[in-house]
Amino acid sequence: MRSILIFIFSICIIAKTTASSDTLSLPAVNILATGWQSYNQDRRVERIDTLLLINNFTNLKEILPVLGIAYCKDYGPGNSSTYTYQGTAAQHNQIIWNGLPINSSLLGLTDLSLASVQAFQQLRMIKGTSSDYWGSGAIGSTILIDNKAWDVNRLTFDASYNSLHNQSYNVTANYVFKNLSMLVSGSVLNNLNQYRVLDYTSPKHDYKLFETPQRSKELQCSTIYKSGKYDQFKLHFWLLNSDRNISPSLTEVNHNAKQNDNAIRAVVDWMHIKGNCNLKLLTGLIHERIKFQDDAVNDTGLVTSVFLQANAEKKLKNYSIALSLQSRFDKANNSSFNNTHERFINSLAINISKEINSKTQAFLNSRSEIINKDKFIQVGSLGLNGSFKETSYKMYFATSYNIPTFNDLYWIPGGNELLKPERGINAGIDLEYKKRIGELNNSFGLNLFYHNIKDWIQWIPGNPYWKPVNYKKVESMGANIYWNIKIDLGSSQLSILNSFQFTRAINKEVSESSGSNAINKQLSYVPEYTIQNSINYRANKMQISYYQQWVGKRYTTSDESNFLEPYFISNIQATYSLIRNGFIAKPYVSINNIFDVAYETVAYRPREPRNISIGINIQIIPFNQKQ
Amino acid sequence: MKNLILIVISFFVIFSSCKKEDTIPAGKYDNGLIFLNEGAFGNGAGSISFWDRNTKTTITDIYANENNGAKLGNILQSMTQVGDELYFVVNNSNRIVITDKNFKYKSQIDSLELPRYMVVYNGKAYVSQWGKDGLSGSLAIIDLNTRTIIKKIDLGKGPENLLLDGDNLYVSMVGGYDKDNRIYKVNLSNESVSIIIVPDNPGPLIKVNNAIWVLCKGYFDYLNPLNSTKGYILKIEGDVISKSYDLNSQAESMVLTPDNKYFYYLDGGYPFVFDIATSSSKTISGISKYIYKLGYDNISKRVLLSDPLDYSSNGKVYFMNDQFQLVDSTNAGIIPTAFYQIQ
Repeated sequence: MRSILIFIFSICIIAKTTASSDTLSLPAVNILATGWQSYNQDRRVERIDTLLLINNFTNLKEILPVLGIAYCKDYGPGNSSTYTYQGTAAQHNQIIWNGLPINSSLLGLTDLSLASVQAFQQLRMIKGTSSDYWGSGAIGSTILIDNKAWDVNRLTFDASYNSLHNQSYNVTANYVFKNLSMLVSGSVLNNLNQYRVLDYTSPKHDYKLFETPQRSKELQCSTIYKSGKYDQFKLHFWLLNSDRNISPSLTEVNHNAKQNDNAIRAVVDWMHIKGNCNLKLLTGLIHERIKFQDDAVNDTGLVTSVFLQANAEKKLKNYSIALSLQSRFDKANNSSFNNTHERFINSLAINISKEINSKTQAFLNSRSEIINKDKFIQVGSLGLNGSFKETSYKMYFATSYNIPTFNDLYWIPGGNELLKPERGINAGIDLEYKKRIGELNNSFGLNLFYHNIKDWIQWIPGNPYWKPVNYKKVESMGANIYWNIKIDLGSSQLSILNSFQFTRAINKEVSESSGSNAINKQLSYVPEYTIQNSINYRANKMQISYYQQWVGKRYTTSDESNFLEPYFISNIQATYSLIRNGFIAKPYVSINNIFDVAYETVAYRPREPRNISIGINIQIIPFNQKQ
Repeated sequence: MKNLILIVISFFVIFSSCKKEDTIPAGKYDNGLIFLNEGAFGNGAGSISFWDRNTKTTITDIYANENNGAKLGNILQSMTQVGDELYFVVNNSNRIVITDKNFKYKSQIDSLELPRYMVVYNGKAYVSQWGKDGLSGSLAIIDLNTRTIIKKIDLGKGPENLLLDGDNLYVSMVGGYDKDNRIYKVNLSNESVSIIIVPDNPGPLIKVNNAIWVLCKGYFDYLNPLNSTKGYILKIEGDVISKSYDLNSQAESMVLTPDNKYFYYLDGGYPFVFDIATSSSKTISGISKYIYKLGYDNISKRVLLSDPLDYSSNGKVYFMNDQFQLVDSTNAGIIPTAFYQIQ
């Protein structure tokens, strides 16, 4: 412990002494088009992308816990990872990539471990429901991922090595020619994810070697073309190929399970932004293949989704009205279906906002959706945002929904075509106080939330097979309190982020009396309490960030009889920047799980012990470019 | 003098026999029932609960308590007592864990392939196992001295329950991840095999007098439920089906009363009693819960009914008397599946 503190202190001193008059100018990210809102203004939206500049994250699952807003249910390095937010399940949190909802139609969720973040320029999280805007699945939160392009020619190379025997590489090239900007980003992961853990399930408490080999390749491309003053065309695509072995839990033996994920995602949109009238047309395609194989199972799932959207936004004197027509076609097949299934979804969303006065806006949103011409869903919301003095507030009351996945409907055995969509009643109040005192920027926030989700779909054992049913009603409420401090010390900056989350998510009703032990009990794998703190210090060429997280107990059974012990983990990272004309090299080192804490986020799946990453980020920016 | 010598010898005999009694104390868990709990599938661990006859209370996870928090593994399937040792068959962990009567870990046998049940004959353990793929099942033969697998006899889909009858071992083929309709009769002295063809998915086997009774579980066709088959109760005499009784739905579990007059079974998840003398079956009314497995307590003469509740929380065990009344209940672990009395 003492040596770690000395190490941190030494780095701080080095950082301070190496500070010079050379200024570090990161190329600015210029958003080529503005004026289009992709969320309701009565919901709090957290910018996540700033963390990308501070830390050397490789995928989404590493980012969300740092923000202190989501708990990742992570099966360990190399294995799948999903997240829970405000007491909802993974399928209640939607991920939108450049305007496309990418949660799998088969599974209803996105594996965060398969979303490399190096090519993402903008990451935001809508805290709370946005089903009225983004449709099915956006009950607890929505993560908005946007690929953009830099407005300078630039070549970036990242390489890192981790003591778990993991390697990752990324090359990103950006080319600008007149009004055309192109970005190509390729990533390769070659991970062994190898570590030793104390096997407390064995009578001798001996050590066990965990190994989850994973290889993945990703290519993300973005092309943006500005036509004249008002029009902009965008083309994005994302190719993913991942192969991994699924490691067993401590209580299992290796069943030689392997998973192969392939995805092609593409979106083309045109935006016309002129004064008070904006138009946007979008079309997109997602094709995914998930193949799982072990000694007994050989299952392949295929899904293709096609999207068409037409959006129009008109701003009047005190009003703004936005219309969105969306069509979606899904076609899915699986080795465990008896044939291919299709689904058409057409929806109309209307968003009206009114300026009540110069500091207050009111919002009325409605979304109507027809599935396969016979199922009709209507949701909506009312909201306010405004400010008084240094305090801003946002509040909403909404309804939400989540339609069953193809696996829920058609999986053999058990698929239940009679399933109803999950329906939610949701509310949130968000207060943020910002005050600048000299060089010190304070922001203090309080977010209160309430979700009441009925017809919650759950696979339950039955006779003779497991079957998904609209099983239960869940009530979730809680609070997120945060206090962020930023201090500008001239040549150096210090920021401190603190966050506390309380979530009480309980089963209020279950459809069968046999499950009555779960009534009024906390949902499994939803921590009641979490606390996060991070400190980031930047002094010219040196940057140090420290992060710590405490997660309270998480029940693993529905009657609260078994639980995972609370854990406290912390990471530290130091980055040094070498800057020459048109060349920036940033070597970095990070120590994860500094205190070598043994912990689990899923029962009997121990997480990685203390490990060290080293890496380098090299940027080449040719001369004579604007920065 | 002769009398004195006799007295001295008698004293020593009595003394030594008393001493012998003292060195083999009764097990801590002899006076009660052992519940095996499967544990949640995938990321769970099987556990053992002990129900104390005196206090009528249940102690949970006694294996972990006795072994510094250790776990048996994923999906605890069955237990076999061999002398003072207990053999726990752990299905999804592909192992058998061996403990003493106080559940202290002694050893384990690995490298099995989805093992199910075990019997012992002539110093060898015979373990039914489904095979890695759930289809290529076999009978594993284990040398209990070396605790190693010495041979496998390939059988096919889902070797399940085992019934030892003299030199013969009956193995019901429950189908594994598919279906089957055979009972193997394996002569253990020469390992010759013969087959009895029965309805779909034979499971539990019991012997009453000279007859073998079989519960065929039936088969549920997931692709086309209309092709599903119902369960059967069969009486086999001289390796030939002498009587057959069809059931309402798919069936599970079969437990015999100690007087060999009745056996209980589950049809569609509900308990029934079968009168062997009259060959008649009777519904047990008043139990609306879905019952997962049955057991029988020979001491209190009560039927044990396991209720897994929602399969993700601790289950319950109900005690039913011979008047078919639920007279007591107690808590168990996650998915209680089998019941034993330590001998």
